[in-house]
Amino acid sequence: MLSATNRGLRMWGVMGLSALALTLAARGVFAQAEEIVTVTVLGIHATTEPNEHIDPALRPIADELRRSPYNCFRLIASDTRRIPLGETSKFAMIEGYALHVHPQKVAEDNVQLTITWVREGQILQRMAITLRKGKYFLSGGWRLKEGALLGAIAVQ
Amino acid sequence: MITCDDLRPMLAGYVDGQLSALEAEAVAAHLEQCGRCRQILRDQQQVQYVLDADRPPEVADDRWEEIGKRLRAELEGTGERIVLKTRSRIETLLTSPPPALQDVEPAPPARPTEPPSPAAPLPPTTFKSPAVRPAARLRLGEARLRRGKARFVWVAHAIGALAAALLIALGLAPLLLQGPSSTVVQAPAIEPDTLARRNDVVIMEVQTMAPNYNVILYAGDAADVAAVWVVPTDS
Repeated sequence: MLSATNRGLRMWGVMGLSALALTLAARGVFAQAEEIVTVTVLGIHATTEPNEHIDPALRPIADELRRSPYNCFRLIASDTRRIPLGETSKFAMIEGYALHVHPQKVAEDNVQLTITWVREGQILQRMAITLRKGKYFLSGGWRLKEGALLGAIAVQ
Repeated sequence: MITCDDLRPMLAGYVDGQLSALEAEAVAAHLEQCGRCRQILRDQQQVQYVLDADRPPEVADDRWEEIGKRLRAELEGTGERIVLKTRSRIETLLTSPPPALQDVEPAPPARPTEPPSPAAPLPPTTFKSPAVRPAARLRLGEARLRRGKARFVWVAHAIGALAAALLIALGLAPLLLQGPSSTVVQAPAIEPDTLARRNDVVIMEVQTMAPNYNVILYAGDAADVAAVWVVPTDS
């Protein structure tokens, strides 16, 4: 009977250790395969109107935005996603425009990524950049029915 | 001639030999012709056999006091172990099947009033259970010890299962909590100092496929903010 007890304890011990080993191995595999980059994309609708208007959320960068030929700026999209390295995520904007972000490499303080502007399945522009984490990179100026579409991208 | 319904209540008495000779004769006559009642009789004999086999050993009256003293002494840990002569019913059935259950054996009734009629083809009988009194010895202390160990085995299994589940949960928790589907991430605040400047961005390549656009690249030493703008050619 005592040997049965020992067998039971030994069996559960082996099962527990096996489960631990499997989960640790799975974590290792996931950690290697799923290096994740957090990407934030802002969509800005820029127009020219008689009176200047800048969304409160965009006021901190108003000086930079005013360098463009527009005087009104409205935030039309704000999305933050965790994108595994090597995968592409599509951020939809307005009037068929979309921004595809593809993180390629992560360093200590920057991320190498490809940014692609697309409209209705047609590639408009592709950029390969290395961006410091926490900084917004501005791009765009695509024509809309009224005004233009700008984009700001940040990585973490 | 008695019917089956008349016979059924009398079968127990027939098995025990408690019927009168006349009743026993009538039952025997019916049994000779009725296979179903014979089967019922066999079943009853089998039950009787099991009950007889499981009967506890008889103890003389003067032995009870002595057994009580020895039990108390054993429970207090000062006496010898008491050996109970018993045998489980299942063990009895497995080791000693009843030898003669196919047909009833002739035996005189318990209260015979007259000798069985020679004309009776199947005289009244009682089944004699074979002498299979319990022979296995089961020690009381061993039984207690066995029960205690069996309980410990269950406790060990429960602890093992809990520990394994805990290890699995601990191993998987980070994966479940930080899976790729999680989107609760704080976006960086958009401030003048969070705009990418010359040292914050390296523009390695720009390909513009859209026609009717001019590309303006702000990335040089003179630029405050690094950016890539497009401007429609007709604007």
